[in-house]
Parts: sequence; structure tokens; C-alpha cells
Amino acid sequence: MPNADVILRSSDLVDFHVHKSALVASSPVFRDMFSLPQPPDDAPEALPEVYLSECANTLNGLISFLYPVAPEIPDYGDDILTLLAAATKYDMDAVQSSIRAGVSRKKLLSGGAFHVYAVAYSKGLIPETAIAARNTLGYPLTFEALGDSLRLFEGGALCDLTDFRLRSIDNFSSNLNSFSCRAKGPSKIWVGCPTAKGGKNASNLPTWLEFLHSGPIQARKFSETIPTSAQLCDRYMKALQSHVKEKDCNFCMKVHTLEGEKYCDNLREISTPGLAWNAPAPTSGERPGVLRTA
Amino acid sequence: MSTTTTKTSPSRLVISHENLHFDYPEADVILRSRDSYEFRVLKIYIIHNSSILGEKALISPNPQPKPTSSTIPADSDVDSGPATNALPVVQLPIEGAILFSLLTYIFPVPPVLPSTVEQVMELLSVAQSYKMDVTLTHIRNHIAQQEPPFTREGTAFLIYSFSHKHGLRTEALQAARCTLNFATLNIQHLAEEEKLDIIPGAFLLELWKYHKRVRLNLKSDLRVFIKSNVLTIFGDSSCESLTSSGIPSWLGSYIFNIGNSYAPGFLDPTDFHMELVEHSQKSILNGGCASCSGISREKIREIWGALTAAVHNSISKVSVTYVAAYLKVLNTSLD
Repeated sequence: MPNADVILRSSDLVDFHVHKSALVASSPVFRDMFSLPQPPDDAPEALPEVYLSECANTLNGLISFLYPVAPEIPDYGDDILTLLAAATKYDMDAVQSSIRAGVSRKKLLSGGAFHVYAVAYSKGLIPETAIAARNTLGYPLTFEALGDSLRLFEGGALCDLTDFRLRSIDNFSSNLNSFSCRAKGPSKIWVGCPTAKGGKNASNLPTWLEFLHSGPIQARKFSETIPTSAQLCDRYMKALQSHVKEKDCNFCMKVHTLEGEKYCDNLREISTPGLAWNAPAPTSGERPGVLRTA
Repeated sequence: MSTTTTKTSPSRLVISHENLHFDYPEADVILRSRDSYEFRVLKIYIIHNSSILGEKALISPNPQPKPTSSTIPADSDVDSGPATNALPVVQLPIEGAILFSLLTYIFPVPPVLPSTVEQVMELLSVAQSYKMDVTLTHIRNHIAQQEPPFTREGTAFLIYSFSHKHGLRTEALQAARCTLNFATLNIQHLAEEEKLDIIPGAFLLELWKYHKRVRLNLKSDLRVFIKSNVLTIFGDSSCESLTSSGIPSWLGSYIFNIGNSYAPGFLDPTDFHMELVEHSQKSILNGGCASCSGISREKIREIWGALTAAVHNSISKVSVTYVAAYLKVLNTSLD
């Protein structure tokens, strides 16, 4: 940069000539650093040098957010997390927001849910840890599924993830029970199906709705996954179609025609990951602990 | 922490575990721990036990003018006398409790193991790092005599984790083998047992891979065992249900399933007998299996002995893969 007044030196010894003002404006850490009295320099004409622990790629990305140029967001999940961690370390709130806004969830999770979770956790990146943790619910939590990503799990990362899995299963189970309540839940619309136990006047739900209760929910098994909204709706459609075809049930067909869409919307909400997530606000000086109950 | 106050020959040697007091008569060097405990010892023992530590003792700086007692706290009532004030001091990056324990294995005093698993592992690690081969063997023998066993169900995961952390292959393997006696590695099970927070992911991954290798090896070795040893011991069986190898199916199935069982390292003779009884009873209902119900006790003992030996041999052939990163750290930590 022309008229640069400081050199940032990366861990792999690449120099970046930048302006203190740009650093100070976006980072309280640099602001404090430059506000400290500096020792007299042997060569006053030389620019001051600041040694940083980040590599050149990360610094390049970070600096690109400080100037009116196209920001350089890395292509890979790990590099994005490293850049975010650097922005977090230097308290660059605006840079963090820009990176998060500029990165799609798909790109962030490209390294695999468990891998991204472990890396984000180790770097103390709470939003990314939360996103990745939610994403892991779509996979079994087993040694086979974790594979070599397990190597990246440090500290309480795995412990917190198992806690989160259990809480998510409990949350899903509780939502499901409310949803399936024949008196008050959305599933009450199916009461009256003539194929239900006891007939149409017995106030029972038809047996085809049992699709709701398949999966890990009762047994709290880590080897199974919590169904996503799309999977639940798919199961609903398949179970209904099979029921109507087998029993020639006009009642359920009619209910589906009139209220099926709304029912599906309600069904989607059961599995909304946000319901199972309650990340506490980060406390200064503590490890992420993002998956603890608030 | 138990107290061991001992006076042994020579009579002026005094050690006390409680206040980490170790004062050897005619001491010619002071070993100072990281937390500033001082131990007055004879160089010759140190040199004899560890060339690395011995070298430190030989090149140690000169006499300390400050009159102190042999241990801290400074107000200790032990007075080691004016002659000890001018000894060279070797500063060591080891905690007082660990250094004290180490010295009890070097000097002719009753050995004292530290009180926690972590400290014991640290003691072994220090002895290993200073290449104290004889002392290391001495410590390991002492550990092997502990009752209850040092490596057991309640401690195996912790010891496995610390072994990796401290670069102790022998203990890592012992602990990994011990886990075969009571556990199928499964994330959910480990979470329920609250073991996940004591093992870093990298170590856990290696333990899981170790379990996998053991099971794979067991399956292969037991297949060979069925075809060779079992046939030799049993001879021709006239059991109504034989495997293609010519041994009773119940026995073949029992042996074959060891590799898939919950805890492959733990063989229970009761299960074995139950399989035999179940088969015999089932067969009796269908007219009886004279062959299996008539197997002699000696033959059962023989097959059981051969089976347990085959399982243990198979398990002992499998080693634990090491997480190299920690070894590098360890190699530099005691410099």
C-alpha cells in the first residue's frame, strides 16, 4: 500500500505494508497495540514491524477487508474458519460480519459436518460451531461416521457434541409428543379416520401416523439420525399414500386435501434445529462451551 | 497422602512423604523441583541411574550461600546443618511430589508411589525421559504389585489417555488391552460412562482403531484355531450338528463370536458351559447328543485352556499406534 506506515509480518515471513489507521479503525487490539509507547528505534526511517502468528494467506484475506478492494474469502471451509478466527482474535467485528455474510453455509460446511464442528470449536467460533453441530444431527454420531475427523476433537468438543445430541433428541421427542397429541396437537385432524382403532367415533389416531415415531427418538440412539423437516414430510406423504391406497380411505384423503399443507408446515417445525439449540453467550476467557445448556 | 517417615542405613537419611523431605547423609548436590522443593542427595546415585540427570548434577552451578533447610516451606523445623548450605543446586522441571517419589526408587529407601494416576504417569514419564531404565523397571514392578491393580476398569481410560500424553507405550498398550475386558468402544456408551472428557479425540480414535484391529486379528486367528487346535483336542466328534471343519456347531459358533463380542478380552467359562448345556439339553429333547453331553471335564478344561491362550496370544500381537505429535512435545519438555 502506498504511504504505508507499518509492516505486518506473517508467520511464514511475508511482509504486508499497511496503514495503522486502517488497522486501528477496525480492530481494538491493534488500536491498543499502537497506543502503547514504542521503544526508540535504531533506524527511525524504517517502518515498524509487527510479527503476527497468522500465515500470509490469512493476513491477506484479513487485510482485504480493511481496504476498498474485493474481499478475498477463501474457497475452503478450514481456511474460512482460520480467517474468521483471526478476525475474532483481533476483535474485528465488522470483518467477522462481512465474512459471515459472504460465505454460504454450503461452502462453510464443505469439509464435512464433524470436521467443521471440531475445527470451529477449537478456534472458539461460536456461530460456526453451532451451525456445524446442528448439521451433525443428520449423521449418526459413531466412530465410523466421525472417522479421522475425531483426531481434531480437542478438549470438551466431543463431550459437548454428545450433550447436544441428547438434548436435541429429547427436544425432538418432546415436540413430537405434542404434535402427536390426539386432543390438542396438530395430528388431531386425523381423529375420525374409520380405520383407526375403535372406528371413527373412538377418538384414536390412525395407525399410519406411527411413521412419526420411527427412528432414534425412543431409544436415544446415536447410531441413528434425527429426521430433517424434508425427511419428515417425505415420510408423511409416503405413509399417507400407502394408507389411502391400501384402505381406500376417503376420510384421510379429504383431510389431506383440506389441511395437509398446514399439517406439513407444522411437521417441519418439529425438526427445526433452532428449537434444539440454546447457545449461551460467550464468556470472556472461557473455552467456547457453545453446546452447554444456557 | 500417606506418610512414610523412614530411617534407613545410613542412619541419618530421613525421608518424609508428607512434607516431601528427602535428606541423604553426606549429600553433595541439591535437586530443586519446579515448585522449589529441595532434596539433598548423593550425585553418585544420580549418575549411576541416569546419564542425562547425572550430567546435569556434574555441571551444576556452585554453592548456594543462602542457609536453608532441606525442604520448603522455609519455616520447616528440619535443620540439615551448616555443612549442607554450600551444595550445588540442580534445578529440575519436575514437581516436588514426583521428584520425591522418583528418588525413593533411586535410593535404598522404601519406594513411594505418588497418590494419583496422573502423578504416577508423570513419574514414569520422567524416568523414561531421563533414560532411567533400571528405575523405570523398578517403578513398573512396584506398580504391578498394587492391589487393586493400577490398570483396571475404573482407571484404564484415564491411564490410556495419560500414557499417550506422556509418551508411555508400555502403559498405553496395557491400558488399551484392559479396555478390551469390559468395553465395546461406542460413542454413546462412552458418553454415558462420562469417559469422553478424559480422552482427546486423537487418542480415542487410535483406541477405536486398536479395538478394530484386535477384533479383526481375533477373527482370523480363531478361524485357524478352530481348524487346527480344536480338531486336534476333540478328535472326531459324532455331534449331530457339525461345522464344515468337523467340530460341534455350538462350539464353532461360540469361538467365532468371540471376535464380535461386547468385550473380546474377557472370556467367561460360565458362558462356555452354558452354550454346552444349552446344546446338550436342546439335543436331548430331540433324542440327545451323546457326543457333546459326554465330553469329559478334562477335555473341556483342555479346550478352554487352549482357547484362552489363543485369544490372549492373538490380542498380544496387536500394538497401539502412537500419536506422534505428543512425543515431539515430550522430547523437548524436559530439556
